[in-house]
Amino acid sequence: MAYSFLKAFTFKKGETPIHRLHPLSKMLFALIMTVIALIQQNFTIFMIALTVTLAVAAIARVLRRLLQSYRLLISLSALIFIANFVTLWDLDFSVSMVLRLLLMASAFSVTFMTLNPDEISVIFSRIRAPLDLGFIFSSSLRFIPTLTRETEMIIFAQRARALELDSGNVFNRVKNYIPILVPVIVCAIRRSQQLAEALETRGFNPGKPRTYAEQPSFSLLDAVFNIVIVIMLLIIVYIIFFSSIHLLTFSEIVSLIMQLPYSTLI
Amino acid sequence: MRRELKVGETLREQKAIVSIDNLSFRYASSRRYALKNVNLEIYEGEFILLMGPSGCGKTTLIRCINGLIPHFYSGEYSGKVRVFGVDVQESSPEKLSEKVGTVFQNPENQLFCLSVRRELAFGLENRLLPPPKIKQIVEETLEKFRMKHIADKAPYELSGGEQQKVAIASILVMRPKLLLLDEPTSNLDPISAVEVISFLKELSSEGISILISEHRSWLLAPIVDRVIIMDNGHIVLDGSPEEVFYNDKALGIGIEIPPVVEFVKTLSRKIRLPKNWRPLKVHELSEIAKYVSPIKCDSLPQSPPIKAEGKTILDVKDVWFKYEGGDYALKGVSMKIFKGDRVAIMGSNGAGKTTLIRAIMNLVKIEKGSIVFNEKIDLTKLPTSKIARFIGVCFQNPDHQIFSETVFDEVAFLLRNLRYPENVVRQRVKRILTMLDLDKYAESSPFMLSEGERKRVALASILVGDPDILILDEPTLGQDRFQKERLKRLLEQLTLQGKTIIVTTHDIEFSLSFFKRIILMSNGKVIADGSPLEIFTNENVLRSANLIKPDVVKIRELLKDIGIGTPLHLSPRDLALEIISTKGA
Repeated sequence: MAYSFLKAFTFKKGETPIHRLHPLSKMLFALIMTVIALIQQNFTIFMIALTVTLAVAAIARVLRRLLQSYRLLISLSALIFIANFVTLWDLDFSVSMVLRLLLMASAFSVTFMTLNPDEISVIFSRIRAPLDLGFIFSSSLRFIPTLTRETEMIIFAQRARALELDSGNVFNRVKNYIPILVPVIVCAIRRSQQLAEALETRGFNPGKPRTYAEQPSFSLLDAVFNIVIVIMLLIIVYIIFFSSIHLLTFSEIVSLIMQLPYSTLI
Repeated sequence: MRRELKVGETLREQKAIVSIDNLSFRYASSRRYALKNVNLEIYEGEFILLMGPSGCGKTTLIRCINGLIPHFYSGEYSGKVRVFGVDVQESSPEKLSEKVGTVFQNPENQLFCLSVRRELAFGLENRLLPPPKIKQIVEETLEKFRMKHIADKAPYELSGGEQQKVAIASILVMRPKLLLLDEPTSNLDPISAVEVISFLKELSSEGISILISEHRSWLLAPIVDRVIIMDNGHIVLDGSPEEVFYNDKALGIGIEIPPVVEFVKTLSRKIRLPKNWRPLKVHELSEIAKYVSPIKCDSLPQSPPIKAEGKTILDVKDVWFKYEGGDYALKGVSMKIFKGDRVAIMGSNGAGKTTLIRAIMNLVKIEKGSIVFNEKIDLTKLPTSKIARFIGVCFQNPDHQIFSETVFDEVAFLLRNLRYPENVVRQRVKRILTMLDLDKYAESSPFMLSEGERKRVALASILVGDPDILILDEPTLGQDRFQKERLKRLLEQLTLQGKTIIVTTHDIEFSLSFFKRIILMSNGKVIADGSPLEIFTNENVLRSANLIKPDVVKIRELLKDIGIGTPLHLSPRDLALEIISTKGA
């Protein structure tokens, strides 16, 4: 089901080096991968950046969950590819648009799977962003498992009332989800009201400064990780904008494979 | 305001920490006054139980003390509330939180962090305490309340009882002088409720003042100093637990009376008992030997055996099921349900009750086993929408299913999904709405109704399908005594029509007084199946199901121990009547 996609963005505790990184380092990773995804279109570079992201996921032991979320990206990727290819008739560009989506989704997925939502408000206070924004952000991540479970319960309750989700034409299928969506939204609003009450009575005031009992600190690991990632970005920028090194594109790789003697393929 | 003094305490030492003077409040969204001319004083060190039927104003009263009213909820406000000498209207919930802590019903919505340790730190961080000081207080609190072993766990890794204890502890780190709790155990199974209440008892003995609103009077009556009963926005009774529960007025309000009180009160209608004898605890009943002569038990009929005759309407055989990435939730569950059966499935949270319902409805695919309806229909091969024609399931939370613009449409949803012609739909919906006393709301929005009414709408939306088997998941949760009695009458009526009723419940009183058969589940297995008498008198079974022994069973055992006899009934009223009717036999 579609909401299982959220699992790829849900934090689970872990003891890996990636989990131990400072929250800002994890955010920096996602941001740099996004920059790489946006400034260029080369297939080889996408492959390198994706490999690095998957390697980080593997170290953090979240690779399996990341790959599972790809299943749900397939239809979206196909749509992007077809839309681009039909309008522009450019194979390399269409492939790179898909890879762009994949790289950004993977990088943010790895970050959020290893970033404890409790630490997000620490990031916000570090970069001097408003505290209430940080709290909205961290609590929406904190409540993903709760909301997922609640959505599941709502779907069960409505199916027990003979609701068929996958019946009829496209228009009907969208309509079928109204009995799910309305309770999901109503329950979320009720929940946020209760949360607000509890926050008020525990002295939370976003307008006022507060302290943090546990301040994550930068370690040697952070330094190494950040330097490696930044150097990677710099090399890519250099290759793309300042050098004449030619990197293979998707169509070149395909034609290379096609030109190989038939015997070597077997 | 009468209140028994504790040893060594004099009147002069009693300081009113809360004084409410002629308070009335009406929510901006409502036409009715939620509180009307309330006068109340709370003294230092008191442990107060606040009771009343749903919608009586308990929650509103609590909000008036912690400042959520008028600062978070606005409306028409008159009168004065002073908390620790401060006028609530001129203060704020944030400022009041320094002295007043509030714990709400749903533990999950009060825990914001992903570890217990951070949760405890949260309130102190808001107070701008330096980190080393916060850490010190947090560690001390963890130590003191024996929470070290769960310090790094996330809320969803804790049991309901643990969650609520963490919610309470996260308030206690701020050292409040007064603790307000709004139905803190409503979402918990009995054993977790006992755990939380004994935690409160411990706090009370340390001198914290406590005001708790709660339905389970049997749990609190023996330990609180004072009971306040509200009805319709007024305080109707206020005094010691003995004074309040033994007052005849208490029975006329929709609150749960402790079984011990109900037993003694029923006896006193036929037998002369001393006026000042007002026991609240089971062991205090032993005096009863002075007033009642022993009864002969063998002259009584044996409890009726469970009917094994009749058609098997639902046959669950060796069902195994595992959630993705979890342990087995059902480990070889088998049970035969007969036509016309009235079955309560009980067991602590996580025993597999709700999963079993999901499996019956084919909402989850079982791994192994079979579920057969009416001796021939294999439910594991039928889509849920087809099963819904003959099995109706009403899940716990009505808000998980209410979505329509009008109550009529909400109730018609099932029939329309089953493609009934519109004239049949109209006719059947009308009948059900009348049966459940909801016809006056047919054109109202279901979202505007009270919680009890919404629960009834949800029930109507299932009953309208005229199912052969009706499955109700925790139907009495959050319901007051009148609402429960109404539900019992409705279910009684349905049994007479030949319906089979299956209920999952934590409500001991409900299962003892209404069901003929109880199936106990524990850890994904059925561990006992029998009459209420067989189940609730079997210590081993109760222990392995993590259930506590109901007061009424304890009363029965006491009667046996002091030589009065072994009655067969399991409701306090019937127990008393049995003793009276066979007196001298």
